[in-house]
Amino acid sequence: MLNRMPNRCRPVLTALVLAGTFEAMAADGLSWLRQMQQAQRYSTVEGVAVYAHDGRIDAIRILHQPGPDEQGQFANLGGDRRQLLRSGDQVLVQMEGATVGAWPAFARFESADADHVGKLYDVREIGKDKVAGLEAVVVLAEPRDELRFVQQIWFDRASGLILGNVVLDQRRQPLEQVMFTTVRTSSALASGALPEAIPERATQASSIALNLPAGFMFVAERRDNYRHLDQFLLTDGLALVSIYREARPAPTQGDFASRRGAVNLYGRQGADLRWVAIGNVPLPTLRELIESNAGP
Amino acid sequence: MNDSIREQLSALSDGELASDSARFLLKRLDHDPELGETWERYHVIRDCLRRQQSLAPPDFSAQVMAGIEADGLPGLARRKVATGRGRNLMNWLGGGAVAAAVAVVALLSLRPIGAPETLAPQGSLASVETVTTADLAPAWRLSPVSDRQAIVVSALPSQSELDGYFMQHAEGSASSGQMGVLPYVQSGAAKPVIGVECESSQAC
Repeated sequence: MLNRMPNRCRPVLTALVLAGTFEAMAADGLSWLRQMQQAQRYSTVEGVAVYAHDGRIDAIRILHQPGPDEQGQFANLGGDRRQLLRSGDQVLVQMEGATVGAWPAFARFESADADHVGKLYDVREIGKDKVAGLEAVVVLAEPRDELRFVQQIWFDRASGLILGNVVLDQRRQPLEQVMFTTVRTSSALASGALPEAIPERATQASSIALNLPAGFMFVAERRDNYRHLDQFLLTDGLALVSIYREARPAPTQGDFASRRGAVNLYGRQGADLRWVAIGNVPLPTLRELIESNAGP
Repeated sequence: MNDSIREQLSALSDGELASDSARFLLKRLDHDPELGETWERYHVIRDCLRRQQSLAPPDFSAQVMAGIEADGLPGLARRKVATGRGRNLMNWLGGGAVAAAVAVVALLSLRPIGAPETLAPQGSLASVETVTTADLAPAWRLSPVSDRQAIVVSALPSQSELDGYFMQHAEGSASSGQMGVLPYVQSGAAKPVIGVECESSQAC
C-alpha cells in the first residue's frame, strides 16, 4: 500500500501509524496481517520474548530497527548465550563471544499478500488478550488443507505489531509458542531510519525450476559459496519453507528428518547432492517437496 | 604442519585469531587438504566437549533474570536519538555489540578476493541430540507426524550442519517480515533440535 503511494502521501499514513490507530483500520483477521506487515517496517522493537518448544523455554533479548540499513541483535539469555547480529545486509552468529558463522542477508523482497493467505486459511479474529502489558487482538488462521499448520497470532491493538503466536498441529496440539514478555516499541522514523520502498511485486522465478506445494510461492534465494549451497525461500503468506540444494558427495545415501518446535526438516542425501526442506509445515509437506525436486 | 599452524587453527576455531593471521589461514585452508582435515578434527573435538554440557541448566530462570538485568547493552530507550539515516551498529547497540560489529568488519575484511562470500556456521551452534519421542517432556504432546518420526537408525548430518539449516532458515524467514520479528526469536534458540533418521521416506 505505502510503496504505491505518492511520496507526499506517505507522511500522512506514517502519522496514522504513529498515532496507533490500527484497530479502526483492521476490520478482520486478514486486515491485521496487512497492518502488521506495514507496522513492522516503521517500528523499532526492544524486548524479551520466550520461545517454548519441546518442553523447553528459550528467552531471547531482541533489539531490532527496520529500514534499508536494518540493524538487529537477538541474544539468547541462557544456555550457550548465542546471539545473531544483523547489520545491513550481513548476518553474524556468535556463541559465548566467539564468531561461529556469517552469511549475507536476503535482499529485501516482497512476501505473499494477505489476499493470498485468505485463499489458503480461514483467518478470523477470535478474541482479546493482554501480552506484555499491551492490549492484544487474537487472530486464528486455520488451513483449508493438510499441507499447513494452524496458527494463532497476537497483534498489538495499538501498533499492529505481532506480539506472539502459537503453532498447532492438525489435532490442535501446540507445537511451539513465541511470546513477548516485555516489549517496547518506538518509531523508526523518529530516529532517521527511513523505511525502504519495496518494489511492486513481480512474478519471480528461482534460478532452478522448483516444484512447489500447492499454495506456496517462491520469494527469494541466496547462495552460500563456502558450502556450495543454494537456499530457496518459499511462502504461502503465513508458513515459510526453505529448500536447500547442496553440493555434497556422500558414500551413504538416505533420508533424514529433524524437528524443533513446529519447524520440521526433511532431507535426502544423494550421491552428489543433498536436498533439505525445512519450515513450519507438517513433515509430509516437506517430504513431498523433496521427492518432487530431488527425485528418488 | 608445525605447532604454530596448529595453534593458529585452534585460535581461529575459538574466534581469537587476529584478522591478518585469520586472512592468511583461511586462504591456506582453501588449498591445503591436510590443514582442512585438521580444522575439521578441531571442530569435532569442540563439538564433543560442548555436548557434555547439560541441555537445560537448573538455574535457567536465574540466568534469564541475570541476563536481563546485567546485560550491559544499552536499550533503545537509553540510547541517544540519532538524527542521521545512516546510523551504524556501533552507535546503535554499543557495549558488547561494538565488539561484535568490529568482528563483522574484521570477518568481512579478511575475505580474500575470489574467495567464498560466506562462512558456514562453524562448530557446534547447538547440541542436537538424537532422541525418540519418549525422551520428550510429557507436557508437550506430539502430533501424529512427530510420533512417526521416532525411528533412530544411524548417523544424521552433523549437529552443526543441522543447526545451521535451522538458524539460516529462521533468519531468512525473518527477512520476509510476514511474522514480524518472531522468526528471529527462533534463530536464537539454543536447544534442542530433535534429530531422527528415517529408514525410508515412508518411515518419516
